Formats: sequence, C-alpha cells, structure tokens
Amino acid sequence: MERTGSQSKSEHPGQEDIAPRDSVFLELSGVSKSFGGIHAVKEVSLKIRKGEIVGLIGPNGAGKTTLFNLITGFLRLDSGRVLFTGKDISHLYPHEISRVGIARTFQFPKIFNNMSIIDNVLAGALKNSKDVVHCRKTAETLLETVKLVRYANDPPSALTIANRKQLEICRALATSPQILLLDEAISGLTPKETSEMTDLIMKISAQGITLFIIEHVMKFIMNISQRVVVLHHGQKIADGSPQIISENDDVVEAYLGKKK
Amino acid sequence: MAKRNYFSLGLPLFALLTLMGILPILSSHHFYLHMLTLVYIFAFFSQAWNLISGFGKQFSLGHVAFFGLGAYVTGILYADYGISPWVGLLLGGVLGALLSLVIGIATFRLRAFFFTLSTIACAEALRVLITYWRLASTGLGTTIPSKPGLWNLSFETEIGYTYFAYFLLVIIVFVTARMIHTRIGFYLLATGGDEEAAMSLGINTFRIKLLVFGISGFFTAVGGGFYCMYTRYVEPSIAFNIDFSVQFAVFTIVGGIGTIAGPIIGSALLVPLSTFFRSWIGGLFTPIGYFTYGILLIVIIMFMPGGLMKGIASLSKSLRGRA
Amino acid sequence: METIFQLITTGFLTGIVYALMALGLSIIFGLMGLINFAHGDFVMLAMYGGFFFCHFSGLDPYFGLLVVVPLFFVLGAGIYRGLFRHLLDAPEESQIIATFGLSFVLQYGAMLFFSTEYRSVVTKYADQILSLGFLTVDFPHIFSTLIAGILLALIFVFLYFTNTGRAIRAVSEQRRGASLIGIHVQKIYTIAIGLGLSCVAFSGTALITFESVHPTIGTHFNLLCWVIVVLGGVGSLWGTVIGAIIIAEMEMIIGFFFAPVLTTFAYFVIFLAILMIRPAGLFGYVERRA
Repeated sequence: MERTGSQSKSEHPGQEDIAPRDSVFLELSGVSKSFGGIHAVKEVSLKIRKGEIVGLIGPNGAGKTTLFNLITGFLRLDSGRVLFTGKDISHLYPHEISRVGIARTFQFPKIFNNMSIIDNVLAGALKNSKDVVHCRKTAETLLETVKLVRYANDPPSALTIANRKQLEICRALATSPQILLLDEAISGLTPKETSEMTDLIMKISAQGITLFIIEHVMKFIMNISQRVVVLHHGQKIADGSPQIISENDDVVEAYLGKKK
Repeated sequence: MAKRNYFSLGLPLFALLTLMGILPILSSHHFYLHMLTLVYIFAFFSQAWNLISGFGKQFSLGHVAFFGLGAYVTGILYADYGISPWVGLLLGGVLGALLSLVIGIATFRLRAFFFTLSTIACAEALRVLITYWRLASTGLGTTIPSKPGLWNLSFETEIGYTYFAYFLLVIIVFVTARMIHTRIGFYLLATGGDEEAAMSLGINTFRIKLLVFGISGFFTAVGGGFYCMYTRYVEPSIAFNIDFSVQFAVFTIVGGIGTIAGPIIGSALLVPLSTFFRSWIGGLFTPIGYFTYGILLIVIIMFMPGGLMKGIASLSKSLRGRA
Repeated sequence: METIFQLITTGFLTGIVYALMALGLSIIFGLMGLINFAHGDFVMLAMYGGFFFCHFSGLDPYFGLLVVVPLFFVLGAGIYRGLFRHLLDAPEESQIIATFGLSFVLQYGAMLFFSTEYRSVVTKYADQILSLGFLTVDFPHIFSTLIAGILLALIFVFLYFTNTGRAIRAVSEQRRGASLIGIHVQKIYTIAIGLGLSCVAFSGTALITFESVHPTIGTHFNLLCWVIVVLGGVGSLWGTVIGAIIIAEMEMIIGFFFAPVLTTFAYFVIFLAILMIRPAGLFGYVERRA
C-alpha cells in the first residue's frame, strides 16, 4: 500500500519521534486518567505531526478510546496536557474542541436517528455556515464520495454498519476539521468494505487532514499508518513505524494470541 | 425540504391550520366552541412541550409548573390588583422562561433523567408553595371577575376565546416551523438525537437546550394565563395538577412526538374523546380517563413510538415540515 | 432544645424506614440502570397490602408480610416480564415515559379499586409509647425501625459478604462500560428485582403502621425516593441510607418550624442545589464534563 508524502522521521530502530517542533500538530504530555483507583490512561505522551496518519493500537481495555475521550473533551484529565497547534486544549468542552478543528467518530457510530441521512451530515456542516441551503450542498457532495447520496432523504435506520461508519465520517468531515480521530475504523466490516474504508481514509489524508486511528486489526493498521502508537494497560509501550512496532517484543507479548 | 413556502410550513400543515381557522365560524353552539377552544389550547400546550421534549428529547414531566405559574401570575394580578391580563400574560411568560433557566442551568449538563426529575419536583414544589401561600391569605380558590373587554382579555362571546386560543396555536406552530428549518432546529434535533455526537460537531448543546426550554416555558406560561382567564378560576390543586403534565405528553406522543403536526392531531383526537368520556362517566376527575392515559403511554411508547404521525407520514411527508 | 432532640430522634427512626424504601430503588436503578418513576406507587400498593391484611384478618400488618411479600414477588415477576424487560434496552426516554405511565396506571387503578379515602392501620400497640428521659417514642415507630433496620442489615450483609452479593455490587458499580465476565446476568437481575421488591414490601408495611395511605401518595414517595438517591449519590448504597436519614430529619425540622407542606418545596430547592454543586451526591460518582 503506497503512502503519499510521508513526513515521518521515525524510521530509526527504537527511536521515539524526533520531529522538529514547528510541525507538531497534536501533542499529549503526561496525560493520565483514573477511574476509582484503576489507571485507564497513565502518563501518556505523544506527538502527531500535521498530515500524518497515526495508528493507535493495543489490546482491549488498553485505554485507547479513553485517550480519545480525553483529547476530545469528553473526559476530564486527571493530569497532563493536550496541546493543539501549540494551544492548550486540555480543559475545553467537546464542542469547543470541535471548533478548534478536531473531529472524531465513535466506537459504535452515533447516528442521529431522528434525522434523515443528509440532515445528519448537514448538522455537521452548519458549524461553518448558517446557510442551510449551502450546507445541504456540502452534505450532498460528501455523501457522493461514499455513494450514499441516493439515500439522502431516507432515515438512517436501514443502514449497514459500513454505511453507518461512512455516514459518521462524512458528518465529521462536514465540520472541515484539520485532524480526524477515527475510533474503530473497520471493526465489523467485511474485507471488501474494509478496502473501501481504506480508500476513503487515503482520500481524506490526501486532502491534508491529519488522521489518528484506533483499530485493533493489526494488518489494517500496519498497512495504513505511517506511524503506530501502542497502548497497554493505559501506558504507551511503543511508538514508531509499523515495521519497528511489529518487531517489538513488548508489543508482541501484549498481543499474545491476538494477531489477526 | 428547505423550500420556504407558506413560511416553511408545507402545504398540508398550512391547510390544516387554515381549516382550523374557519371552524369556529361554523357554529355558535357553546359546547362546540368550547371543544374547539380546548383542542386549540391543548394543541398549543402540547406543541410547547414538544419543542423541548419531542425535538430535544429532554423530557419534562412537570410542565404544569409553567402552566400554573402563568395562570397564577395573570389571575392574581388581575383579580387582586386589577392589572390587565395582557401584562400578566407577558410577565408570566417571562417568569416561566426564568424558571426554565434555573432548572436548565442546574440540570442540562447532566443526564437527561436529572432534568426530568427536576421538572417533576418543581411542579410539586410550586403547587405546595402556592397552596401554603393562598391558604394563609385569601383562601385556596380565586375567581376571576369577568369584565368584557379586549384589554381585560374577557370576551362576551365564546368565539373570542376560541380565536385567541387559535391565535396562540398559530404563533407557536410558526415559531416551531421556522426553528426547525434553521440552524437552531438542526442543532436541537441533533442534541436530541445523540447529545455526545452533537457536541462533537461543535454544537453547544447546553445553550441550545436552555434556549428551547426557555421558549417552551415562556409559551406554556402564557397559555396558562389565558387558560385562567378562560375558565375564570384558579386554584393550586388545579393549576399545578400533574394531570396537565400528563396530558401534554400523551397528546403529543399519541399524535406523533417530534413532529410539528403531532401535538395538533393528538389534541384534536383526544380532547373530544376524553370530554365525552368524562360526560359519560361524570365528574371532573375521572380515574378511568387517567388510567387509560397511563396505559396509552405505556403501549404507545413500547409499540408505536412514532405515534399516529408515523402512519400518516408514509402518506405525506411534508405534513411534518421536515422529512 | 428538648424538642430538637425529639425531632431528631423521630426523624432518625423514620429515616431508617425511608432508607429501606429508597434502597429498593437504588438497587434496581444502580444495578440495572432502569429508571422507574413508579417506585413510590409500588410502595403505595404495599401499604394497601398491609392495610387490607390487617382489615380482613385483624392481625398485625407485619404478619401480613407472609402474604404481601410473595404477592409482590409475583407482581414483580409479572411486571418484569411484561414491561421492564423490554425497557432495559430501550432508550432512557422510553423508560421514563413508560414508567410514568405505569405510575398513573397504578395510582388511578388504586383509585378505582380502593376508593380515595385515606386509610390507615391502628395497631394494637399504636398508642403505647416508650419514654427515655425527655424523649418519647411510640411503639409503631420502634417496630418499624427495628424491622426496617434488620432487613437493611441483612441486605448489607448479603451484598458485602456473599459471593452473589458481591457479584451484584460489581455489576452495579461497573455498569458503565464494564465487561460482565463470568456473571450470569439474568440471575443477577432477578435477584436484584427480588431484593428491590422486598424492600418495597417491607417498607410499605412498616409505613402503614404510622402513616395513612391514599392512591396518589405514590407521587410523594417517588419524589422522596429519588431525592434521597440523588442526595446520597447514585450507585452508593450507603449514600442512600445516609441520604434517607438526612431527608427525614429535614422533614421533621421544616415541618415543625415552618409547615409540613413546605417540605416538598425544600426537596426541590435541595435537589437543584445538589445538582448544581455536586451532582454526584454525597457518595456517588457521576462522570460528566463539569
């Protein structure tokens, strides 16, 4: 799988990211979160550079979605900081995070079932414009890219899981984000649907949107990411290119028996 | 769906409203007009409830609090101080909006269930407070004097009240329709659809809920003021009776919650029905009636959450003004 | 000063009964996440159960528990299968509306069957009192507190010291996004409902010995229980108990110094205050962006 214009400098074996400061886009610094004594996320630090595709993997319960929730304001940090283009966004509400330019999808797609398919996407487009007519056009364009536009006025109830994920992505894209966080990009998808999703993700990346993707299907992540971060028991245990990661003993051990 | 005809109403809804505007003229029989007035005003109340509970999915089960508040403000100001009910209506509405702000600020950052609980508690609290106050001062029931005149919101003929109720209904339907077709409407629906997802799109759900709940509280209080002037009697056990809260909900849910026409259809169906029930069995409060409401609520929520509108919807989408 | 102590004492005694009443709600809500707006009406039914048993048999209502408790289990099973089971997966809104409807069905059904008069039970020991210095406590309160207290203790022992009990608590505390490994969910739910209904049956029986029942009293109890659960903290059983005692004391004090009627108003104010300042209540845990 070809990757366009990788700016990753982390090809060196065992090296952490050594990017020059000014291209750092999203930065986590010592982020921690506990629930009643259990460390869900512990002292996680990482940097994501503009335009990168970064994968986030780890066994179930490793803290991946929790990390996303911390970044996007759905959970409060116990300690640490989250910086976006240098600005501290650690204490912002989720809607403020969105306005800063960070969009996300959810582990189980959260579709607005009380609105038509196109209105779902429209709702996202309204972030940048009050004009409903204009936003509808934006929504149509987005739905075209995933071939859902002919169902535009239908309720989302009959959508397949793949379509739901696509709809959620369109909706997130409608907000014109600079970075998109995808949670469980392909779980539940057939191989064909996975391949379509991969194409979609590459298209998104080609438009300059930075991607941070959670998935626990190793093959997919290794294929698509320029860099991979590995979480285990809430801690970062590895961070580097897919090649490095797949040869990392700690990672293999964490995933014992979990390889797909 | 974003076409702006008839002020965003859509033809069927506009036709329905026009029809309802003509109905009062057809007969001057007292009972007929009384029925119409009740249908219109309950459609109005249900629509106000529908705004926050249907579209926004924040269920208020204490909406009678606003009703009673408006009824008392208007009633007491007029009966005890001779202040025009128009002022009372407006003041009641403003107080209603303020009350909704208080509840909203306390609960809208939490699970929707806390909001519901607060509304129930609020209605009970107000009932108790007003009972205590009136019991200590002038006695529980207050009769509103009838001095006909537009300024006194008292009409010599029944039809005046019917058209006033119709007037209120038209206002709220237009407000709802306008809202639904603009950004606020989409944001409200998104908030009701999935609040976290809405937040992730940059929607300040807290503010949206406050705004819509405020509008709902305002209108409900205004309607309460009118109701008090219409029935010319206000008493805590009536003005803050949980039965009103239930009726607003039942009419909306039966007609089709989260649709513009739903509350209208529900009221048009159930108000006459329950009145005939009442006159058949007798008495002001009919246990069987409310028993049936309870059953209705359970059955409909479980088996036909979309209400009657779901059935009609497949026939004509634009009746709702929103696909 | 003595009056204050008297009020506090009576409040504490009543509070224990309230605690049992609210605990039923706390267990079911905390464990299954089921929002039940008809809880108070079940208590009302239990009170009627106690009343009618006494009325027809002439025996003390506590003996009636032998009849009432099984009846409640049957009732509970019926309502669970018929209604609650469907509601478990339904969105919160549906649970709220459906149980609200259930509340109405129960209240007005009671009105149809039992008439709207206030009914109360006069036990053989109703006018006997116990004097401890300047404090007087009447026997009905003593018995009700004893019985409620014993049951509370039993429940706590069960929940904290038996394996099944611990499993129930684990499921309850980790209900949000936890995995149910190796725990038979259906069995847990059934036991929880059984526990909850026992609490209702016992507390209703206890209440009828010193309070009268009326079909619409459920609304008051509903509010009371929910305020207690929120004050104590959702998910915390100890919180429910402490919350109940606090609320009962409050009832006594406000009722004495102001007017009994105003306690409901106080509930509302307290409720809003809790939600604004500390939504988790005294001992609970609520995760929400604040």
